[in-house]
Amino acid sequence: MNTYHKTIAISLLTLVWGAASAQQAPDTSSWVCEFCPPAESQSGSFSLGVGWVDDLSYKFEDFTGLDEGGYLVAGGSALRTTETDYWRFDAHQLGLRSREIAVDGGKPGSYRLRLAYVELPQFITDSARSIYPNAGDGSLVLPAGWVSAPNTQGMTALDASLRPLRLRQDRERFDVGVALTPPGRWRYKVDYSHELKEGVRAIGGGFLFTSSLLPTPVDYVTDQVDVSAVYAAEKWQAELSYYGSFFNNDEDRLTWENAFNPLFPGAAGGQLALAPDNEFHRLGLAGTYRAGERTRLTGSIGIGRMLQDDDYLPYTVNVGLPAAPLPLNSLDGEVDVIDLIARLDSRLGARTRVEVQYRYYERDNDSSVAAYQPVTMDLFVNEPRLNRPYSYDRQTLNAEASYRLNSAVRIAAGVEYEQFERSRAEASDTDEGSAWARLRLGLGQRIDANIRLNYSDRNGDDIDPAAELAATENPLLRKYHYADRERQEVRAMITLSLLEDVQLTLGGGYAEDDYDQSILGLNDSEYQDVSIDLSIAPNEKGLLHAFYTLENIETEVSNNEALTGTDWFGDTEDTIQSFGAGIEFRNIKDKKIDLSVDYVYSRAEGEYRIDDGRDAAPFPDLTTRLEGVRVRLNYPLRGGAELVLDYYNERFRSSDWALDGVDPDEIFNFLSLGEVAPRYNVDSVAIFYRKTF
Amino acid sequence: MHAKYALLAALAFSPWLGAQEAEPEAAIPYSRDGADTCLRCHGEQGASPVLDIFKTRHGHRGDPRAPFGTGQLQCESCHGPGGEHAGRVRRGQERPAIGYFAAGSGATTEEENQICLGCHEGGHTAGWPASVHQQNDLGCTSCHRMHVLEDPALDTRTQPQVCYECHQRQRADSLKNSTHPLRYGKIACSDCHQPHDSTFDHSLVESTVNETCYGCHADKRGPHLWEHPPVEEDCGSCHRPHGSNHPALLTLRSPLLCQQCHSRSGHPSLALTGDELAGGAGGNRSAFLLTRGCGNCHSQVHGSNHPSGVNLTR
Repeated sequence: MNTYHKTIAISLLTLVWGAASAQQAPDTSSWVCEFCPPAESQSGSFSLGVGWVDDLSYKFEDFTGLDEGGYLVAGGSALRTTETDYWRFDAHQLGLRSREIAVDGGKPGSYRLRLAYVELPQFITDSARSIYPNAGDGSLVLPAGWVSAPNTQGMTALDASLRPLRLRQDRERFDVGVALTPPGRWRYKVDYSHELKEGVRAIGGGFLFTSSLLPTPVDYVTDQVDVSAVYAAEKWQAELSYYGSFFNNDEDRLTWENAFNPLFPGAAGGQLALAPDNEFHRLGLAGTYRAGERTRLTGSIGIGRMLQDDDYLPYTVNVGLPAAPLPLNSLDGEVDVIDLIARLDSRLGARTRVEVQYRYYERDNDSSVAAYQPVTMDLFVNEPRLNRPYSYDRQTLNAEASYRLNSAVRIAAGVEYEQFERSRAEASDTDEGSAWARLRLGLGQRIDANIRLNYSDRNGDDIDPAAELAATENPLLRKYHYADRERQEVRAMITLSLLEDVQLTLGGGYAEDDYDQSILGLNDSEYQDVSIDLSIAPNEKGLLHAFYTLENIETEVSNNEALTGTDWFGDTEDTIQSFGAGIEFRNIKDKKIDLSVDYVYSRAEGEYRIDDGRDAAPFPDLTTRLEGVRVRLNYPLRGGAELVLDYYNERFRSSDWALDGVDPDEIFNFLSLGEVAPRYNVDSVAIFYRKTF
Repeated sequence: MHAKYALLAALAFSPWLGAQEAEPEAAIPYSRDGADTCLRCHGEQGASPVLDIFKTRHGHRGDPRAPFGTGQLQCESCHGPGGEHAGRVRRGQERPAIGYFAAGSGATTEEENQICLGCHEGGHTAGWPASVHQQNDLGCTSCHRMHVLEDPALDTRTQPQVCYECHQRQRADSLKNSTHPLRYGKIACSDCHQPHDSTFDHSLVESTVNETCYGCHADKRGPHLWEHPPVEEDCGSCHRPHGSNHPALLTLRSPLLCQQCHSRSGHPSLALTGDELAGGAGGNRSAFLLTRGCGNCHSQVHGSNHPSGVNLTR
């Protein structure tokens, strides 16, 4: 075994080195590695201390778990190695709801085991208010003394009934992974994860002319398993795999009492279906074959099946309506997926490389089809409708080649053809041709430049608006996922190593999607950006880095309120600036004191304009501004310990016309949650002792 | 036997590879004492401390496949024969660089990558030769560091910073109002992308954008009784996964987001202006525009399994 690997290593050195290294393996019997650290070792570190957050902000707490008040700083890592084993233990943020614990190790060359536990808090808002006293339940009841009304202005008990509502979802995930590398050519791997997601989110529920935002329970369990076996021969390898995902929702419905006066008798409540339980199974076979040292054939096939068979809810909870029988008790949902890929890549000599790839992907929705008689928003029985399972397939063929002119210049170009067939679109077939070219310049160690151009053109062969658009839709509408489109893009990046320790990187690009045949719908979108990065590392005692990015995203849409022509236009423009800078001082005054300061800034302005020919009021800009400053000081103590002071301030301001000033009763026919756009200025400081052993 | 064939194959094919234009040179000798030769200068006190490699899997002595496994070539497994580099030099003479992974070595990125692939070829790196990163001449060491306890590219908390060195737009996205939790260290770029293989679109870890998203958002998978094409085709039709100025990573605000694809479906596609805002001059605060816009009623945009959910309101 040892000889085998050593010989392989020498062979590879021979390959990359040519004749210069054609030599025998050295006699390593005297290589005792006496200066190497002992093979048996234990090392690691732990941190223990306290932290304080001076204010409550859900947005600041989002993903971090940094709640107002004090918290425990606890974490650490440990490494244990023996002649045969290697084990690592890591723990982070144990005092917060974003904690993580992991154990990873085993006998290298034999097996590897990984266990992990991760928490991820997602905090959406704490500024919401709801009238439902049992928010978070799957069946919402109106508060005692509630006064229904035809509109929010008439809800006289509203103010007294509103209660604070916090929208948040917490994830907990348990991971187990085992990898086996027995002697020989087989490798095996099993990964399993079990994730819980619980909390409350908001969802809209209406009755035709009135609607409310409703607190909705989230109680998900997702299990995933990934098993693979790899056989690696000298010239080829193959992998057989299975992936399974099992989603379970303990809350299959949300039922709520209508806060408005019923539009029709009996419509005193509604019911929504929540995410149904589902499964996904996929079998995969992938392989690579090396035909000589220059050519490689790669292929894979994946066959998957999505299943969903939750029992249907009734058409309506409105007992005053005639109860039509359901045609089926459940969907018997089944979607088969096929993904086939074949690729050949080859080096034609030392300078040229070519690649050809073909891919076929199919989503075949084989779910049951039946005539349903929907009850529109629990109000009235509608005409029977057939459900229409959505299927599509996509074929792509691409070819590309690159050629190295000399040590400094490399050019590459490629073409791609894609054919898309959809079962439910006005354009059942679309074809797209693409071409790209890239130039790479590497002038010594000083300059590295890259520019890429891309052009593509998509056409729908037989656009038939009558095929799928509802009868009331404007036939001039073209949906952007199939509409004719011309796409152009250029991107460039240049890295300059100005001095030995100074590096400057400039990057930028422009992209445009032009939907020139879309009279109604998305007409055009443009994206531009430019970035500058600077890094200065004069010595091992200091580091300075800074970046700036400017982005501009524009979109143009046309639409109408009638059935012919275009009678209004909408356009948006988002401009985002991001800036960051950081400086590090290490080993200050040779006393092992480290200090770092980091600053980030991001400001976004979003313009939203509607032009309908009338003199309407403009929209105020959508703005967000984030500023963060972190200062970290590491002060050494005796015995390999240190004291760490970590201060962080984050300020966030935002204005959002969709939320600002929208109290629960602001809209005549809509009961909102009264959320406000987040703003905060939070200081967080932590001081902790860290011991390294 | 296989080892002999490998060596013979290597010797046989070597003239056709990159060095074919060079005249054969004398073989560079290996060092006399292996790692002990190297560590005389590159110990913890040297200019390039390397001892932390012994806390990594590369430095584990018990792994027969690893560079420091019994009988392996230790430092020279990756850096190539070090006899010249470690040998005596005359006064004023520049010390020859080690063969690989060192300033002045003269080795190309591709040559150095081949050394890594000698042990790491296969599995998740099987697609490396045709990957986007390979085509852009990235080396393994462009992202990975070997002589440190924590390779930043392999740690969820630090990996994004490694990627941002080239992917500047994604760094800007991570600071936007709505993002995945990259900047909090709770998700890594490699949770969605496979940097060593570009077989799938965008170098994703799963076959499609949607299958990648369903890894964490399985509740959106369905299939649903009433679907909402192209939701089942590409989450990216409406969402910007790296970050957006709009809620829920959306590409645009509702209602304009929806009005890109819907005109008069059920009710007029109104031109909603600033007059319909809270406090607007029109006095008509519109539920079509404020809070979640269309989603105030059509809340089941990812599909509905309710028998009456045809309009995605149940």
